[in-house]
Amino acid sequence: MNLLKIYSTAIITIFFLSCSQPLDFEQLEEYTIMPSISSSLVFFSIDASNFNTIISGIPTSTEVNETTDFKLLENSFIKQNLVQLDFNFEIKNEFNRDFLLDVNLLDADSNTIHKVFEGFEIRGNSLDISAEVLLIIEDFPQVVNFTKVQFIIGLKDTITILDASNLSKIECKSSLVIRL
Amino acid sequence: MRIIVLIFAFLIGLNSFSQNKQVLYDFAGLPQTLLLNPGLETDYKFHIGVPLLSGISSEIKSTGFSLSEIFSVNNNTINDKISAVLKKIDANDYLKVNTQIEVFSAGFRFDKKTYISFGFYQELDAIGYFPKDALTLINEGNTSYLNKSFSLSEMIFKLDVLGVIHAGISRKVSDKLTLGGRFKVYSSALNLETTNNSGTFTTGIGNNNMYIHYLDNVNLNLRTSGLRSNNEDISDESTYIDILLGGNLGAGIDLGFTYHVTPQLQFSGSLIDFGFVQHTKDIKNKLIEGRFTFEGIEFEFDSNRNYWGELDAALKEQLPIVGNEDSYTSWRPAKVNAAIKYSFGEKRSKYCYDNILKDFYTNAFGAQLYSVFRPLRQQFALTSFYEKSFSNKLQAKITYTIDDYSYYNIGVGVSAKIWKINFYGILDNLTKLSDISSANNVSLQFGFNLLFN
Repeated sequence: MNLLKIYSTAIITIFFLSCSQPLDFEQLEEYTIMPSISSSLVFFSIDASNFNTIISGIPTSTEVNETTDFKLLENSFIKQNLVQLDFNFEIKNEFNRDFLLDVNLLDADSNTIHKVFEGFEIRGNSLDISAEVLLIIEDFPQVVNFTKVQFIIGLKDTITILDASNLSKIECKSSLVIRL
Repeated sequence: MRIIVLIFAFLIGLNSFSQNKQVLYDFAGLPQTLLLNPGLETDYKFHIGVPLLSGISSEIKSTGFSLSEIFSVNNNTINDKISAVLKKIDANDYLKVNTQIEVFSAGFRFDKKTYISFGFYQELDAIGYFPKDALTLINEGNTSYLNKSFSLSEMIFKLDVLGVIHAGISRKVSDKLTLGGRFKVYSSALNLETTNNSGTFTTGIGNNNMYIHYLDNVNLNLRTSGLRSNNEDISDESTYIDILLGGNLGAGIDLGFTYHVTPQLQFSGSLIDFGFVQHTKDIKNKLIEGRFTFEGIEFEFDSNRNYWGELDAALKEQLPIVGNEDSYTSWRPAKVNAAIKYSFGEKRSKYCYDNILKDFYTNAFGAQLYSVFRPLRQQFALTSFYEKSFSNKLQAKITYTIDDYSYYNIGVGVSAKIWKINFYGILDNLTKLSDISSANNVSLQFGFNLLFN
């Protein structure tokens, strides 16, 4: 049995003679993925007809309003790791009238929890408006609960009705960058 | 004490090190070499492998990076180190895990020309290619990669846990030629695989909105068996393993030969694990197929439309996730061995079965080629070796291997016989012993057999 003893001892000796530089597997706990996810949000094109709702023969509408669910933040991983939201807008106003834009973030019960834009002025005949709003979650922690986006766009001068025969448009594009 | 030391060595080998079976191939006439080539020659009358200790192998191999690149202690943050590795790897890099434990093995000489061997072993075999695009997308997102098409076809992995019952025969058909074959019955306990995927994800500048997102030509599949039992998902992991004739059965063969051109020059070759498993039970498959384009939500003011609901419905219609329980076939990773061996040096004789005297040379050198068929491509290893017989009871082999993991892999094997007990030990990648953490593979094998003449 001497040879067996020699060989088994030799193999174990080799293992103990083998080395490894120090490894720290606990580093993984410090690892944070920091992706930046760009997503299209809402776009629309509206014309004069959207502002000419006639009630009892009287043109009354000076603003339009639309809301959609936006449930990406319902994902628990995104919600827990969200660092910043970047809202980007590109707007073209062919009318010779000024408009005001509100963009609101709503919770599941449709309560406004943050106003991205409140009365953002869209000047008449402005074809190249761009805007960016950065929301740092540390400063606005309630934003992680938003599940709906509301756009309200209306005439700045609510007294003068928009001419229904005007063929101009307002076009709006928007996107959202989710930074984790 | 000796037993404790040996068990400790076994546990180290099982848990920390991997194997290179090129060292074991045609080494010292060990019974385990018959699992690499059933056409190799043996000299004993019968053998019995020590249950659970006759053949143990475990390997963890990766290409593209080593553990130390991520887990070494230095001034770089873990995020920096993982980012560096992600930049370095490509979609051909992979992580491979294989473990085999011979539960029992035995063999006997049927007549002077015929040796029959049989046994049962358990195997875990897994390979996963690094889906670089998907990892980059998860790690960095799409913002910095406008117009880049992230490929979904890089997602390839395969995991098998199975038991193998086998019986083989080696027959010397002439003085020069020995042929062998082995029939295997596979019993799969667990199989997960996704291969032949396709599709891309691209974010570009949109026409109607700021961005447009494309999921093009998506065809993703995940086939599983063994994750369910009695039509319910298994929640207790301990009930996963049902290796022995669990229901998902398959069959395969090993074929091999040895041919002596001259008494000193020998060719040998084998095809191992040419077979399949037919999965018919406890199946849960997923298939995602289609294409989808998203440019954002187009508002029609004061419409009361459920935009998100419409988007969700369109996604499910155009890119449906379909589940099924269809049976499927999973091919085993077939391996090919080929070797040339030239024996030289002092010519000696030894007693073999039935006290027959057999000549052997004390030295041999040669080359071996090993290849395994994997989902993305074949993998190769080229080995040169020198084998020395110090006596008819003590042999050693040293190898130099070039493969996907290393260009300078040196291995060594020792086989000794004391009374009827044979012990063998194999250690690989010796040059990395000074820093195992920086190695892509290090391997150890050993086992015990009882050999009778």
